[in-house]
Formats: sequence, structure tokens, C-alpha cells
Amino acid sequence: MPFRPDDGMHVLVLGRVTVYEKRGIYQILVEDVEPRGIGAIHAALEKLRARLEAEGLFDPERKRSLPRRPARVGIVTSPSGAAIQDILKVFRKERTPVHVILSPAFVQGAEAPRSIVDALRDLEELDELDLIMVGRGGGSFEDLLAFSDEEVVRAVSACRVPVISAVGHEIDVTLTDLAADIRAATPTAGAQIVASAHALLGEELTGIELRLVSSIREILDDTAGRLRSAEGRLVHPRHILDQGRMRLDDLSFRISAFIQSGMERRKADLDRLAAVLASLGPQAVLDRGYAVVQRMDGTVVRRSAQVEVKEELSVRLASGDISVEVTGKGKGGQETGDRSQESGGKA
Amino acid sequence: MAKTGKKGLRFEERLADLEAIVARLEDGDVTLEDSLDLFQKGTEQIKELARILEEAERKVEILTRDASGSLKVKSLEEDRNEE
Repeated sequence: MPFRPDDGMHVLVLGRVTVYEKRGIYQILVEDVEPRGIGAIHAALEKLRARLEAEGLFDPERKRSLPRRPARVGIVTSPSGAAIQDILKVFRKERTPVHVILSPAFVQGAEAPRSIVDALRDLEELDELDLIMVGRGGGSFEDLLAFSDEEVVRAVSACRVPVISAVGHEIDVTLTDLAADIRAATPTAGAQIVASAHALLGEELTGIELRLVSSIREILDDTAGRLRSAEGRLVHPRHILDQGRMRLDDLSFRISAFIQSGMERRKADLDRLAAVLASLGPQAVLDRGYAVVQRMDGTVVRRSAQVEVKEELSVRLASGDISVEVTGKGKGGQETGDRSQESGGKA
Repeated sequence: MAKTGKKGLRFEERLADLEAIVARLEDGDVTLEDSLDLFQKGTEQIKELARILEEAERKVEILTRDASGSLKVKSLEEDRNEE
């Protein structure tokens, strides 16, 4: 960890002590210096934090969101530590269909920072990784220091895959936590974030399916409504034909009825006419006892002036005829008297 | 395994497609034929996505380097610390 000493700081130095004999002065030629004690480490961490923050490594805008389906998840931790067991326990319990690739690393000690960076880079070489979880179980302040190492923090920040940090217990905050895209309080919490992403996905899919079905139903209902309305206004050709046929039937019935009644009326007329004709005919008159008198040339005798005394006439009766001779003539042969005579004759 | 990963990528794209389809349907400003097409596509998409979700299995592997220094992935025995 880069270190710049400040006033009042306790440091451990390695160097050679020399004495300037002429003036009696001791000098130390320092080869290495490191902070001494927890307070000093805190101070160094705070300096690093401020520097990296100024660089923008912890900017909220840089944080990527959790993939909707973290199917392949790389985990940087110790294969023998509690963290990997805690994580796998969650995935087992939640039946999370996740493909875990453990990239082993030392998570404490002097080798830890380099080891964590290497393990992270190894995972980055893999194709199609959705997410990387970096972490370890709880430990002492010093145990977690590797996760505040500048190289580790930079590697996490530069990782091309979204990173969840899952270091220690809830109260421990490392610089890796600040640089990661998502901070989980513990490895178990990190695994739960991944598990719930999968669970959410199933629910989302169900929700989308419901929306799909209800929207198509709405469209179909609407269309069906319009169809019914149009159908109501649409007249089937058969209906038109039926109407025409019925109208035709009705007309032909009325025509035949008309013809029928006309025939009957005419027949009645004819009968009446026949009766009238019959009554006007000579036979009916003859039947009533009248007779037709004719001269020998066939002319009908209507006036006495038409005949001579001694002239032979023919008399037609209702049945048969007889010949008679005129023995005398009465008065009244004038034209004007014809009708009265005739009607008188009838009576 | 790259295949599985690809599926993961395609999954998000498919999901985005599916959401676009549903949004268009919900908008309602499509012809009946188009909406039936969209519904068909959406249903197929859902089926495919559900299939991917159901067929995905939990797998645990460990990354190692062989003698030549190249990366290898091998299966990790998971249940050694059963609760």
C-alpha cells in the first residue's frame, strides 16, 4: 500500500544509522517506512480512499446494474473459506439455476492482493460471464485489508463484468465495496441478490405473459364487438332472396285470387245476361201464350195496315204454327199507334 | 459453456424484444392481423424464455491453471459441506 508519512504518525523504518563525528549528529538513511499500528493503517486507508474517490472510481454513475439474468457467475474467493460455502448454500436452498465458476484466491495475507487481482483477471478471460462476486467471510480488520488494496480496488473498478462485493460482516466496509457495482453486506447476502434476480425473472415472465394475453383479448373483444355490430347491419343474400320469394308468392296469390274472383264475377254476369237474354227471346214470350204473326213472305205483322182481308197468314205458337185467313181489320194502323197497340197486344 | 452464456445474452435481448412486443400490443394502435402476429411472436418468445429458465441447471466449477499455464474449468464437488 503506498504510504506517505504525516506529522505525528507512528512509523516503522528500516535503514542505516550514521554518525557525523565532526558535529556529533546521528543520521538515519531510510530504506523503507511503513505505518505503525491500527490508527496509522486507518489513516493510510482514508488517504487512499480520498485519492481514489477524487479519481472518480467510486462515482455512482459508474455503477452498472445487476444483469436481469445472472446465469454465469464468477466468484473470487478462497476455495476453502466459509464464503463459497455460504454462497452455494443459498443457491442450493433457493434452487437458483446459476452456473458458478470459482476462481480461487488467497483472501488474506501478503499474497492476497496479487492473488485476488489475478483471480479476477482469469475470470475476465472467460467468455459470456454475467457477473463476478468478490469476497470472503468475516475476519479481523487486518484480515480484510486485502480488499482495500489499491490494485484490488482498481481491478474491481476496471472489471468488464459487473461486480458484486461481498466482504466480511455487515459493519465491514472495504474500498472494494465502494468500487464494486453492487455492495452486498456478506457473501450470503450477495448470493441472495443473485438468487432473487432469478426468482424475479420468473415472475416478470409470468407478468409479461399476462399482459400479452390481456392485451390480445382486449383487441379481440373489441374486434368481435365491431364485427357483431357490422353483422347486425349486414343482410344475408338469402334473406333478400327469401324476402323476394315471399313477396312473389304473395303477389301471385293475390293475382290468382283477383283472376279467380274476376272469373266468378264474369260467370255470374254471364248467367244473368243469359237469363235476361232468355227472357227477351221469343220462345219465352211464346211460352207465355203470345204468338208471332207473319205474312207468307216472312215479315212479322205488327200493324193491321200491313195485311189485307182474306190474306193468308202464318201464326207461330210456342209449339208449332198454324195458317189463318184475315177476316176483318180493326182500326189503328197508324205509325203513332204502333207502340200502344203493340204494348196493348202484349198485355 | 460458452453456449450457455450466449443463451444468457440472448435471453436479455429476447426479453427486451418481448417487452417491446407487449408494449406495441398494449398501445392498441395495430391492425388485427399485426396484433395476432405480435401475439404469436410474443407467445413463442415466452415459451422459449421459459424453456431456457427451466432447462438451466445449477452447476459449480473451479478455475485452474494447468502445467502449461492455460486456464481450465473443472467441476467442483459441491455438497461436501451439506447443512
